[in-house]
Amino acid sequence: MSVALKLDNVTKTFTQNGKTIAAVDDLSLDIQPGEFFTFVGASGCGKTTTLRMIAGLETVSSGKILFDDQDVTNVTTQKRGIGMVFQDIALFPFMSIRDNIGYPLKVAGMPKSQIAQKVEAAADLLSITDKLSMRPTQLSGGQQQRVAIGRAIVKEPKILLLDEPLSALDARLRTEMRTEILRLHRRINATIVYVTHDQVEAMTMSSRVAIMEAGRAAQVDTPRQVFRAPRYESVATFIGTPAMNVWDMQVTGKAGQPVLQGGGMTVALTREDAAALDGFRWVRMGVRPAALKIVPQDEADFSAVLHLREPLGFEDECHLETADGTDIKLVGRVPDTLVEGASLHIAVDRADYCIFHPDTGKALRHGLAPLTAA
Amino acid sequence: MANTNQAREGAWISAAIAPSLILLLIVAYLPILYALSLAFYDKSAFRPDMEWVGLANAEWLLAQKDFWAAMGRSVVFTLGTVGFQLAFGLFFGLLLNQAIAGRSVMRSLVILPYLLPTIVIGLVFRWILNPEFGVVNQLLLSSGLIDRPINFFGGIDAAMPSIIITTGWQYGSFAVLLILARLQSINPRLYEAARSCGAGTWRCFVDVTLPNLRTTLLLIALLRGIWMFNKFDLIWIITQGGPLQATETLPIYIYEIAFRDFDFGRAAAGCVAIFIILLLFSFIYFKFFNPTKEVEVNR
Ligand SMILES: Nc1ncnc2c1ncn2[C@@H]1O[C@H](COP(=O)(O)OP(=O)(O)OP(=O)(O)O)[C@@H](O)[C@H]1O
Ligand SMILES: [Mg+2]
Repeated sequence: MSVALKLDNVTKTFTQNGKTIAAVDDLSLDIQPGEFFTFVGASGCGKTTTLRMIAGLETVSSGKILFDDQDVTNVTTQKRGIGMVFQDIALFPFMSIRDNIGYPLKVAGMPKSQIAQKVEAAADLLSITDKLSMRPTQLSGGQQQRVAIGRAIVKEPKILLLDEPLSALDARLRTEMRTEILRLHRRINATIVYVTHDQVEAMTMSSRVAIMEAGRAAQVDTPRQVFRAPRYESVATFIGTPAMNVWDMQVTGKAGQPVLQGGGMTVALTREDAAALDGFRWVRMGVRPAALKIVPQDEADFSAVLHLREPLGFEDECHLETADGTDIKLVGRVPDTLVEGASLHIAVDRADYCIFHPDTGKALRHGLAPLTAA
Repeated sequence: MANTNQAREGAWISAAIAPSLILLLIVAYLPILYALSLAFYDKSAFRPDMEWVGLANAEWLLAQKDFWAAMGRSVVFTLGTVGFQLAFGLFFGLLLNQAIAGRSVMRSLVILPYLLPTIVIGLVFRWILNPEFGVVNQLLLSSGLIDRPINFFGGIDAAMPSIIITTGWQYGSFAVLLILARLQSINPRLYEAARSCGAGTWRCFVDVTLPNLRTTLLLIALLRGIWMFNKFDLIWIITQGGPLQATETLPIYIYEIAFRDFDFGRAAAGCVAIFIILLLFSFIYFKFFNPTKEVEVNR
């Protein structure tokens, strides 16, 4: 099967006030037909720029973009046959909802009766049938969002581009729309390229995600793999709420029997870990808050003082401080009797931790499974 | 209790704005009323008295062939100048909205004609369009486009188009400014959205630019329509309504009744006619185009 969308060493530089910055820096990836592919990352990392280059709204500084193995690098937006939903929705204010949704078909010169039929179908899919004769300003944010999606899908594009389409919505509506977009994806069978800075959206919706950092993709993987086997410390701390605990650890102990010491704890290394850490004096230890457990003293890796607990509902988020002053977080079901100031004994889940390079942040070991060569 | 309080407050408000209302009445409305009332009197400039004649002035006016001819010329002049200004404004507005070299300089230059006093414009255009030594004729002659100089303001056929272009040129920059301001307030995302829907440049113009400009164009048409229908100064400066009566619009015609024939009563009847026409025009405009709603900016 051909690749639906291929970015081939794509770079985009902007020059402002004499300074040149690379908004997207030598990005290469393949997106398969029917994928729900998400670019996620902090503000300014180049997500929108990437999407705009895919749409043809921005030229590439170098590199190539291919749709279905066809080079479209120099094809204009209107000829790329994409559907796009913009972050700020951008419905045509002077047109009715019906005309907004039908616009791509009108431009394509489709007969009126056929347009009406397709618009009805799209409106039905997005449950906005009763809004068709209204103007965009008469609709709520969520409804406008649906209209924008309707306009993007009505022509049944093979590639659908969505730039933070849910960012303007309140939390409840966002969750609702998330499900609806997923359902839509299943129905329309298009390749979706989705941009968000919300890692929850990225993790819950995508078949694969690209974690963007300063114009580069730090990791391209399935959400599960990104969560369990982050390639970099930065990826590990970006994905997951609350963020992964990371602290410095010293590699010490007898030769052939190294241990990690730091954060008030000492951990014996497995043979594989020891081999991977050979030659390091310092490493960074990463443990997800949910991989920490409150245990009886004799099973504990270290002890810590409970500073604050924030109820999340089912579980609590606990702010702890270890003996050497490292702040860490633990998420789990904690007995109600534990009050702030209590001293706790904590164990690290041996199957769920990461060890990172102290300088580059590159992952050296994952507790789950050894990382395959990067 | 609350009612008396409100009533007292209302009285205070009335008392507070009364002086300015009265002033406005005296300064603005009384002279207008006086002028309009003259239409029902026989009033000569040379006699202190005036005699009530009812609709006699109006009847006289409506019976004049010259009145209807002037009315026709006014319509032509208004449509011509407003059309010219819209076209001028649209062209330069769109041009200056592009990222072209020297855009900011051009933007300041385009406002210049609007800042020039009318008398200067009148004299300058008489000069450059002069049949003997005007630069336009020189250029046309030397480029071989014409072989006899055109008498722009002096020719029966050329005078009206020439005066329309001159007036349109003077006020065109006003249209450019309004249109440019509106163009710059259009969300660029709308163009991108249109392109992502498959629209090319022309469709973008028709479906994004024009609907956004609609209210601005209507506003220019209304304001400038009224203004141009009343236009007197530039025409008077350049042609005084001539040659023969080629540029004699309603205001010029009325002026001549008042200050050549010194018949203020009949002139006032002419003013009432203009007033009624413009009233009708505005009524139609507000009734059918609903400008207050249109002017709302919704993106
Ligand atoms: N037209 C432009 N001119 C100059 N610099 C730009 C332009 N567009 C984007 N940039 C820069 O490129 C970088 C990436 O911008 P981009 O909009 O792609 O970020 P983003 O990941 O979408 O961020 P956000 O989450 O805030 O939307 C930023 O540093 C931005 O300042
Ligand atoms: Mg963005």
